[in-house]
Amino acid sequence: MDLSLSLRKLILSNPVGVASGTFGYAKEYENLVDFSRIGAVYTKAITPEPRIGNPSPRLVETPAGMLNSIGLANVGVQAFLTDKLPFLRKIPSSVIVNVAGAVDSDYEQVVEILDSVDGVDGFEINVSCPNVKHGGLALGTDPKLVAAITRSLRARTSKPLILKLSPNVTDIGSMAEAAEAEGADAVSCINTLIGMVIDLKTKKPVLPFGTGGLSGPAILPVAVAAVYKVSRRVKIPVIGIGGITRWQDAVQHLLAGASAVQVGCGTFANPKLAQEVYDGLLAWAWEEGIQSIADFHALDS
Amino acid sequence: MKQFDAEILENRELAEDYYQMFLSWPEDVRVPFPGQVVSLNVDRGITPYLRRPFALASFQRESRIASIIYHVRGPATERMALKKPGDVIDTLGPRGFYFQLGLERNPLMVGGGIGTGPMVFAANWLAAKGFTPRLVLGYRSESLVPKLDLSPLVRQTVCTDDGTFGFHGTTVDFLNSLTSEDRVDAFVWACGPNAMLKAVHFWAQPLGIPCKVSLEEVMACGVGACVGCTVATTDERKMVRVCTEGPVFSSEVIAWT
Repeated sequence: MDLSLSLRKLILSNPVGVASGTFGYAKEYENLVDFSRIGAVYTKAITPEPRIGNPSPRLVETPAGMLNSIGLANVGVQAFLTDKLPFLRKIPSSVIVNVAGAVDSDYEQVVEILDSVDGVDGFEINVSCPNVKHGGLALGTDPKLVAAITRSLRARTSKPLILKLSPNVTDIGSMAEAAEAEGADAVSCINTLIGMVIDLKTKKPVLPFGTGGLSGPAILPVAVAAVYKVSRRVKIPVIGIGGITRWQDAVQHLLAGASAVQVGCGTFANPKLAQEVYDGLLAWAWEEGIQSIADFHALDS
Repeated sequence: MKQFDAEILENRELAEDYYQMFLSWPEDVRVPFPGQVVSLNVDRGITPYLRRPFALASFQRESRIASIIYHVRGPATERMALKKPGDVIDTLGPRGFYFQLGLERNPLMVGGGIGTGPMVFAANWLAAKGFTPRLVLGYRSESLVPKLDLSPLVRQTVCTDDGTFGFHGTTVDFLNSLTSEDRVDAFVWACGPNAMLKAVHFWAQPLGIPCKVSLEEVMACGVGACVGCTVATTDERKMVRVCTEGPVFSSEVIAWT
């Protein structure tokens, strides 16, 4: 059995990764997880300068999930290189740096700085963060802008380039097509959905900017549908994210057309979730006589 | 910090909607100190989804039994109250910076409501070190006043907002009633609602009394990864994570709003 996914020179031999924003810079989970059973770590979104992030409260639990409004808080690319990357280099998981910014040049700067750096195995471009005023989601809701940023970043790196797509659009397939046309190696979907919780005592939204990003088991069917739609519009691999709380959820993503998956906020509830999903997935594939990721896709047709 | 299945040894009701849950503490998990937390995944369910952090309320070294005191106020704690001895609970801990002694020798422990547990732990811990800590606990009313296991060296004062038990007033009203003699060589450790902590800070600061507070925030990961449990500091370029830089902070670091 070989469930690997090749993206340029990178071979993800284990299709289960941990999603950006849910795993910090990996060191936070040292001693709690078995990195040899985690295919890829998608880092906290990196911007050129450090970002303090949004005011608190930044979190609120929701039925079968949670809303977050972190605001891309991160250490910035220089501190990432000096303080965070040395640990990431030591773990057996592949390291995909999630890149974010307010303007195109922010993304370009981070990719340029990290393109020649050992230990960075690829980039995931966050054009879908719902919690920042500029860049982020605005960029990811217009196929022309997705095409432009993909073209610009493709010219700057030979490493695998993954565009992370937002579900907060009318036609997610058109975003994926734009990314594919300009040379993206894969797309990942979905980022969080826009949500709001209102406090009956204050009669105001709990989160300081009103809305936040919804994740958790509540969004699993939304994510599976997005993967299904996107995988029928593009030939490049789709990485499924959203609502994975058990290995069976990851199987749904793969059957829908994903070639790999990311476990997101499920890690918060159970730090060992990604490796348990991997174990369950392998066992199921074995029982079903599945030999490759393509076999998952064939089961559906 | 480790993730382990703790066996529930006892789940005792202390007052209306207040419980103390006693947990087995495996040999290979570090000894916890006052102020440190565990986060529990109550039923590994879909709702409630996230783990819940609780500051520890006691730890017995010989028997390796830890406890937390919790207030039933939501879906997770409602389920916790139904747990029976022998049940196991997914536990992650111990986590965070604990209360640490400075040079002062006159402990004033201040707890309000859900902040009772860590202050009981702190007071008993200090008593075991030979201190005679004052433990000031505040509740809305008599029905909420828990029955606690305290060392005979702990000098407890219970305050109720409605005067139905003990001192009539808030914990800060009580602090205001202390004489300058009571305050000699004093230091404050506090845990409870933010409004109380803020008032305790502004009581201690002008008197030059060192004050440490243990904060509570909604947490998602509890290990520093999600950056969700941040609070603002007096340095506006800096926010701190309650789970990682805390939960215990010097009160002058926090931007009290």
